[in-house]
Amino acid sequence: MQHFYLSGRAVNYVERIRILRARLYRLLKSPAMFLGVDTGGTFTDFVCFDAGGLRFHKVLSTPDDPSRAIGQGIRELGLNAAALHLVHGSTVATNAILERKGVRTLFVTNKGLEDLLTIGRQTRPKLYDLTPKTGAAWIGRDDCLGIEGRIDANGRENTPLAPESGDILRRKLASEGYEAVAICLLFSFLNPDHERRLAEALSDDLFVSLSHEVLSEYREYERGATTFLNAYVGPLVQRYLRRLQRELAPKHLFVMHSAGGVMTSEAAGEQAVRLVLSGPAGGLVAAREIGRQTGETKLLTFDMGGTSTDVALIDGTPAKTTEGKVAGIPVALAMLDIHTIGAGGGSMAWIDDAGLPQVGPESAGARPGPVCYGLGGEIPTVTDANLLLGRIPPTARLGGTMALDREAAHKAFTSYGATLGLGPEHAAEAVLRIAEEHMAGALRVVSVERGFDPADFALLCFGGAGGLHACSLAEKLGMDRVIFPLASGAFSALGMLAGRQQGEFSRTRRMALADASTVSALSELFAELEREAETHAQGLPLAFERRVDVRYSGQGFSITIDIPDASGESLPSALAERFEEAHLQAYGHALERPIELMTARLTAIVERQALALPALASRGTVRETGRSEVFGAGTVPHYRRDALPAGFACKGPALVIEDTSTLWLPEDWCLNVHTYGHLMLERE
Amino acid sequence: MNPVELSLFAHRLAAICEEMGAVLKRSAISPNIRDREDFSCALFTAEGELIAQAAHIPVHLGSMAFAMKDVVGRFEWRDGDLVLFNDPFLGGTHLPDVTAVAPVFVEERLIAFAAARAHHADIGGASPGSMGVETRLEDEGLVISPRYWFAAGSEDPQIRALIFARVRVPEERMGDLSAQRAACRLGATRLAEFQADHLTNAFAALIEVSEGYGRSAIAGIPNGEYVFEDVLEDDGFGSGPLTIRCRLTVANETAIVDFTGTADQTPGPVNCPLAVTAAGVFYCFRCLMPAHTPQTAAIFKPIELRAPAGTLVNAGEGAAVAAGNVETSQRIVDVVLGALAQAIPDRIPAAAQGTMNNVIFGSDGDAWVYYETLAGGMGAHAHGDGLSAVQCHMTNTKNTSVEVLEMHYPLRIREYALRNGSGGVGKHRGGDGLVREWEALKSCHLSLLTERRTTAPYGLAGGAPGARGLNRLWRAGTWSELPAKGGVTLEPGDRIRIETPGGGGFGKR
Repeated sequence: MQHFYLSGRAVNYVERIRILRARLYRLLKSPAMFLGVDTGGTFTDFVCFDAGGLRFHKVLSTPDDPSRAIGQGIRELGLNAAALHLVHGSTVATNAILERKGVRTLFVTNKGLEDLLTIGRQTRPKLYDLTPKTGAAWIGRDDCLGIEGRIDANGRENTPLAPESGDILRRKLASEGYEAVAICLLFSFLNPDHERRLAEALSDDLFVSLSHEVLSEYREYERGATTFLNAYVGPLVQRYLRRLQRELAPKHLFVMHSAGGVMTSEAAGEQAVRLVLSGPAGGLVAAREIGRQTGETKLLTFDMGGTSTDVALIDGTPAKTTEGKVAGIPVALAMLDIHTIGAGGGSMAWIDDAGLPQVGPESAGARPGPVCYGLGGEIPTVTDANLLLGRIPPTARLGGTMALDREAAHKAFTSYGATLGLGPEHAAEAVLRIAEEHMAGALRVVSVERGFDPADFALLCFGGAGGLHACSLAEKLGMDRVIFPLASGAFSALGMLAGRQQGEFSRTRRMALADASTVSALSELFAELEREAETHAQGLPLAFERRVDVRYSGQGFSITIDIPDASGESLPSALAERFEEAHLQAYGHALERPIELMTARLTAIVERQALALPALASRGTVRETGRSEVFGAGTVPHYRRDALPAGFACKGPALVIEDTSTLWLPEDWCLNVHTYGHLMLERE
Repeated sequence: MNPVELSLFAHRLAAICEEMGAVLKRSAISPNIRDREDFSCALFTAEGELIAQAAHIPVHLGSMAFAMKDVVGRFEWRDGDLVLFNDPFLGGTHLPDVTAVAPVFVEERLIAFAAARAHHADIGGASPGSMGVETRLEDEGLVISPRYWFAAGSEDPQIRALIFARVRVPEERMGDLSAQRAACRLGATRLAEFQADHLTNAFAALIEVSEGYGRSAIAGIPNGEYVFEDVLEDDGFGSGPLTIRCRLTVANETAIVDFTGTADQTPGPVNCPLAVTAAGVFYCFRCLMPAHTPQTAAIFKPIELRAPAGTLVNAGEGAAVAAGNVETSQRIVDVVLGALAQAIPDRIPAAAQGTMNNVIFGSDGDAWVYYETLAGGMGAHAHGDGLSAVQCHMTNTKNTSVEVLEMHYPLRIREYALRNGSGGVGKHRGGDGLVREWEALKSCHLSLLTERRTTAPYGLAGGAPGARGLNRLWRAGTWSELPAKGGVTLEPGDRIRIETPGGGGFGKR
């Protein structure tokens, strides 16, 4: 199975690669102008990179048609669209799923399993809820069609596809006005014949999503759900990207996918479900690049917003998962492992039945928002606590214009603290500690639970609210380095520019590690995959990464490990050693069971010009721009971030202020400005 | 300890239990543990009092909260010990649930215990899956009274010898047990990141404060006496229906749950050790507490349990109990909720499917065992319809993927679908049950432990009962009905079709 994210199903792979090669040659020869565009809920961020260096820009998003904001940004930046190499992070797929605004989709599966998507894993969402709400079903029974025919667990045809199946399918589609069809048949990952034959019976104007093409792996519910979502949002993504292409007419239009690479807009239309983390993936790619620049290859990323916080782990490359979910539905494709919790600046503080203080998961959102916004909020939030304690300076303005009401925050925490027997400031401190415990918990899930010690990592912090908590979180987790990167406000857009175009080639062949033939079979398998990749690349320089899924015989989960540099006879022992090491690291024990190899995975990467950030000027003297009181730290100096030159250093306590965010540098921490403008924080 | 520190500590303990579960799931071998997640992880004080548990399986929660004290008092614990047990009358529930427990030493003091309980697909006995219809505990499988697997770090080979001598697919069992051990060790490692004094103080403070959650939940129930009864339809040997009766007395912040009037224990395997009954009662009250309530034993302190010895709900040693945990526990919930519904009708749903529909396939010849439980309808309630095709009340295990099932076992799934119209009608409809139909590809043995085949899940406030379940066998061109409990040998081509009960309706239509 292969996914070279280039072009349509209608074009064969050789043709796709020819097109790509031609594009890339043009790209590498011409004076390139790269534009990363990330559409967010409030703002659309732009990062432009050309001979003149990097430029950043922001415009208000236009949710009804995100392309308007993009067009506006390009005009305001004065760019010539026709010369642009545009890489886009899009929320079209994600929003359509979250808001349930996908197209009318028919789900086709084996007869007898029509309720596959409705039954799911047959669990109830909340263990102790006696009166749960019945959510609207994703798909009605009428929109599911069972087809006669079965492939068995060995990939053999057990019951032939009923000859009338194509007619039944066509009649159903004709009568009901469907825009898309998702087909998921049992064991299609072993034998796709029945899925293919059904697809052949369908007309060209339908969006067709076949499970063995979307995700060629076992477990029918997860594969079926992923295939369904792909069909559900595919036509919308296709239309959107075609409109973008037509209206802006950039030279090239690429889209970032959930695994942190980029794909052509045509491929993105067909594999739309791969875009569910399009924007957030950009943030992680940027983080990886910043890590390379600063020599920090082990990073925990921390992206805190108003209602939620995203965290992830980068150990050289960002960790991936195949167990992701969107709106409760599994998306079992390999995607970056971003863990989200419902804690952010707007999380509300409350006191439970037993008198213990709690924070979240309820959020005040943007309206009424925190008490200090003065928009009617009465319940104190994390943001109110930061303001009351002075970590958000009293001079801060919401959105750069609106003053924050510190008095109101004080009042809210006075009554909150009274219940706990604490003064307002101590109550605010308690709220911050509890909120930070939730965030630390999220960071532990992606590190400690995966067998990594946070102390070996640096905390890389972006997003609006993260700078207020980064240092104390680091302390909680035994970490002593924090990076507050340049352009943290447009981080995903920056990452768009650093995404590599890559193809994934994999083949499942179950082999016992102990078998004498395994070494030659494995190297043959990789040789095959490399040949395949090279045929497609037609002379473009490729770099390969080889991995293999390994498990103990009988286990349901494999561990993907890099193929060690071992040849011939030593390969099995080296593989066994690596696997046991990885198993030990992840689960704390190794077993005395035979080891087997499941899937060989080859990543072929098209090498391309690296993103180079301009060095900061290191001149001038820095002046404090003000001073204010921070609870427990006395009067602390303020610095404007954009005035700090490379090489500047200072010690906490201090506040470093930007238009959209604040960095709280506590005592015991010192700050250095990196050549490229990143703030490097270190604990003494 | 101040409330802020305590709140932080409670969150941290819960996270440790979740992490133990992640380790257990990922490194387990059998589908029942790694795919269906039929396990629970918990932490206890040095006295064996439950102090934290991940939200895994309710029947595990209550029973561990109830019975660990009896176990930990029996040993002189040393660092590196690991004790196993499954004895239903000494810490356990039914034999397939095997618990591993390890002491946690901090600064050379015994401070806590970490435990992992998992349902093993087989633990020996007369029927594959150890869930057959027997009359004596010893026929149900290998009984492990609490004993060392590891003593001060060195393995006692007797455990391995016992498993290999008495249990089907022993390599799989050893792999799963290793995963449980890994989970316990992880719990111990995490707790050791705290100081010993801090832990003992924090445990004491958490126990003290958490009783408040139980008290305020009960304070929300009007004072009074509420009586409800329902029946278990049979014990697999023709005894039945068997009454379970509950008298709930609420006085301010305390409650008495009295099962006097419940049928005597019975030869068939539907008897409950007291720990399972406690689990059912605790579950009902836990549902009345807020979502973030810390999972300590102390939240149940204000509840007094009265279960006369020798009855179904407090059976004597040696009684067969395989279905007590998975079937009778569901009916215990039905009667406790039935009593609560009289007191707080707005907050209590009509009866859910009232069974776990235990289905066990296996073969001694080819040495394989496959176990699963099936979802059904949840009861409707004052605010809406019941959920369809979900696991109810005392369990929440996942299904096994059709592809995983067919890759591992000589079975084929012919149908897996909603059982439309099976929910009880009413102003709000009960949830629908489901249909699952297997075809045997090789000859094998089938055991069924099911309920609500002759009685129906009750409706409330005028709502109709849910549809009864149905077990059927297709052989030689005809369907015949199978009893709710029992075993049958299947030949290639035979099919088993289970239709699970719907939930009761709520309110007049």
